[in-house]
Amino acid sequence: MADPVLVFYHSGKYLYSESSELYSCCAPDWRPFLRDLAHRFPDEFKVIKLNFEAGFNGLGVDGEIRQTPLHSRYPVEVRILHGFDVIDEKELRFRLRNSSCSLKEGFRPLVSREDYHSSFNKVLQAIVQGGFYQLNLTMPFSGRYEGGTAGAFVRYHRVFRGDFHGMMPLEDGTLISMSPELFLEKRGEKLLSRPIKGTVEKAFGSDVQLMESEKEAAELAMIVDLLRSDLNSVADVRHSRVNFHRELLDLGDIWHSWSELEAESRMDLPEILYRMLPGASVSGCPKRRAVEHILALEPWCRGFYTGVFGWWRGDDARLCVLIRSFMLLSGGEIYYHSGGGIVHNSQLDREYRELLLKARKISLWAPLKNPFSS
Amino acid sequence: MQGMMLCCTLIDHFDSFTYSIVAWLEEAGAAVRLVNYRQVGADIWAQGDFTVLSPGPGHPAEYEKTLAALGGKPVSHPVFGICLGMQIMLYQASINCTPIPCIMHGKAAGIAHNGQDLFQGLPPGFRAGQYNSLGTAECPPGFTVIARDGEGMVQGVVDKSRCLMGVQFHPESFLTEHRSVLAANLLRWVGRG
Repeated sequence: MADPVLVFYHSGKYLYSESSELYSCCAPDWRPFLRDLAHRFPDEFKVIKLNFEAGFNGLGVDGEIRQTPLHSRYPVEVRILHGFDVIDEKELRFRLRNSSCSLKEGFRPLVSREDYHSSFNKVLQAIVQGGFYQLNLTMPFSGRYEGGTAGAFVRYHRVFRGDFHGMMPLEDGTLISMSPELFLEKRGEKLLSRPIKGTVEKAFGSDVQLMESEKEAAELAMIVDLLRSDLNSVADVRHSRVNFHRELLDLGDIWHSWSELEAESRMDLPEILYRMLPGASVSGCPKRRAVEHILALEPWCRGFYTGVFGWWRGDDARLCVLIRSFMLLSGGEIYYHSGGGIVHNSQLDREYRELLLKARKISLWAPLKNPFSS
Repeated sequence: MQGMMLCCTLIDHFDSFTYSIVAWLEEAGAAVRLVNYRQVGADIWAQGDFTVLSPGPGHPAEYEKTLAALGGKPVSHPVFGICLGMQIMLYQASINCTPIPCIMHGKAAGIAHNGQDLFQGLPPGFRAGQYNSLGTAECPPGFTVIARDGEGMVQGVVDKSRCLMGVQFHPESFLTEHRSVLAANLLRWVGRG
């Protein structure tokens, strides 16, 4: 049986579908593609994934992409759900109880410490010269898996906390989202976004440390200001406002700080996404120049990573930022990416160690039996 | 000018806060037209009641078209510069902003000011959001410094004879207190021409 489509819905419920159709688009301006699907399937739920690179045309990024693609050839992919159930956590566990998957080879970074070091220094130099304020520098990790992709979802669903878990079979593989970050919730004209910046692992620090860190405060403030402007670029009914700023988000073994922004717009979802992507929290600030530097500094295409994923129907949609997410290819390769915001007072060793720590966490994945089957 | 909607031309130097500046000006009652900095020419001053030079990345010297146009600005056309926008004005008056020791990205600083014009009605030391790597403590000829921060760096300048005003901080940032008073004061300064 083919993998089901599974996507966070709301209030802890999921949309689960074993009957869907995949549509893909490579056009730099994908608004007509999305509008056509909305016209043809007005009542169906659409599960959508847009790659990081899908945001370049709307942002007006200069220069060609010379990075090497790893996966996700199609920048925009949509699954039309022809039938679905709304299920809760208990039902999800039941339906996926027989899936199993194991990691044959642990994750290893595809960028050496030396290359990361060199990119890191170029970022710091550009920041001091006023080139930008912040840049999100990331790298991919690859491993090998054995078994079914739904089994991988089950395992990571246990490891990661976050409201935006999902699974979407794509043209080139299967996407698994373990994201905790809301990019955009659209209910009619009302738009909400909840950027996350600032992390402390509970094993190594406290929530007080996170809240007292001037560096973390400044990073989140920058992203809030950037996202305010992105929302204001579509807010034709009511300008953006900050509902809350710098509250603590408890994700089990880590603390994050996050904020919530709101705006109102009459534009349709394709237009809103076209103007707002790539996401503020995963690119840098000023966004356009940061993205142009990312293209020069990161050797691999990000693909799905730091893109967006979620559902859309009519005037409503919910999309997360694709962080803490995986791509499983049919040949047995599994990809994960990780990164962090570099600001003027970032320290190389700390940033690189954090990246490797994140990869170790996802590699601690012995071929155990499915936790849902017990 | 009272009762009339002021029209603003906002020269966008591709900062990522541009649409919040539009919102900040619109909420105060101005109509805003955005112009890409690469399309700026000598005729830029013909449209609109005043012009705002947006913040942006890099050094003022990188923005040749804005600098060249500013050189030919009609004396009576008001121009307000924000962050890089102010630095462009200063650069044109031969003050070169240089890297500052304490980079202020996403931080708020207390602003000491003259209590007039842009700062009328604002408490001394109000907090304002900053996004700059470059700065200066010098005041160019013809300008008056109307605000400084605790480090002595220039946070606001005015040249009344040429209708130029600039601030180093970001008035549109959510970190800035009294945003709407600042916007109303700006429009009043523009309206007085």
